[in-house]
Amino acid sequence: MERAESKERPTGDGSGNGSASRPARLAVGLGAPLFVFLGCRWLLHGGGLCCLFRELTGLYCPGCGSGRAAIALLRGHPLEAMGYNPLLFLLGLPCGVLLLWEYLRFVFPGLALKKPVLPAWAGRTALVLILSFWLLRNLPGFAFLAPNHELFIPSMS
Amino acid sequence: MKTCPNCGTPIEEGQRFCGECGAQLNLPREPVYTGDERRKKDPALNKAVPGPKPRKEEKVPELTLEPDLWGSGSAATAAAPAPEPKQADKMPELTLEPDSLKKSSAAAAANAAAETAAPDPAQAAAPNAGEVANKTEDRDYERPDAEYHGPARGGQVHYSSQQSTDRQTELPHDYTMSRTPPEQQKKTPDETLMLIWSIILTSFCSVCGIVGLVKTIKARKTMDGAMKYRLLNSAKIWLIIGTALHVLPFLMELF
Repeated sequence: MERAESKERPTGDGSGNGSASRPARLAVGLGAPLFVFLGCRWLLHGGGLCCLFRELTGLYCPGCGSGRAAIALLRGHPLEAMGYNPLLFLLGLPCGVLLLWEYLRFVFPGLALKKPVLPAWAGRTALVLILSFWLLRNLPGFAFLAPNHELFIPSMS
Repeated sequence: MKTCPNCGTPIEEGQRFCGECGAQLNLPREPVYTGDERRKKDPALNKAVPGPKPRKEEKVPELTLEPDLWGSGSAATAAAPAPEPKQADKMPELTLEPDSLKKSSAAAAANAAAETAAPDPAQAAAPNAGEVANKTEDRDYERPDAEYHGPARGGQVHYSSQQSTDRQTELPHDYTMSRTPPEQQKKTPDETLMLIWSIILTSFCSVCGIVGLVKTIKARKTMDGAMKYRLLNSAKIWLIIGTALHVLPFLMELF
């Protein structure tokens, strides 16, 4: 009985089942797919983001090439996308899956999906990977980590 | 009538030897030793004798002290209900009520009066020191708001007190975890969502994403509720800024 009550109670983390009102769930449920759809359409029709860090410093940031990688993925070229930004595959895809899971939990509380619990080392590992990637891709010896490299695109070489 | 222990011939009182067989009748008795004398005489008794092996005791549930300062309605307590103990393990709930204690124990009152009448010289020198000593944890049962609930719920000890301001400085740092007011606990952003969001944001806005990620990791690490709240909100601001910087141009182009 107590457990059943605790399911209905808001968890206090802002994303628990039953904590959001129906209009909020409706807004997120419809707004998020529409936003993703418009974003993909914008990317496919020549849209893109400029990297402020690249413009200011001339160095690559860890996100450089992710826009091109996303376009390549949308056009069905995963290897080309990996060549632009390998970190997008390593961290971006698992995070995308987790984000989709959170979306389903929020919009459909009736599904009773469990809350994903990331271990303590996950955040630290991600941070170390991002910082290492940022450093290495700007070094001369690790140019294959920079965008536009043809390591994963044999047809272009 | 006594008989000779050797031949069985009846003998008279005071006879020292048997008239039939000549056996000596009044042999000295074997001395009766006390425990200490026997131990002195027999060295084997002085060896340590191993006692009986202790029985395999039943597992006693671990007692944990939870400074449940916000009452029993906290989210953490409600989310994880303690398992019901077995019928055999159930112990009666112990509640110390200060008023009843004071009334029932006349001797304790007399002792208290004696203490008041003849105070400690150290206390007499520093009257405030006595007040501080009265605030120690072992005398908290005297406070009218203090309650002690025995290990009735899964062996957990719950100590609750409404006036806990003087205890906050005495407790170690880890016990301050549940000191965040419930209003703040409700507004604390989701750590997992923040972590995912910050990792994704590094693909678009590296600086904001990394700052948000560092703050979220710090918030996950810290045990202080108030600090966690501050860090997560700060990370949220960074993430919102980073997202807005890249979403706004997209929206402007779109419309």
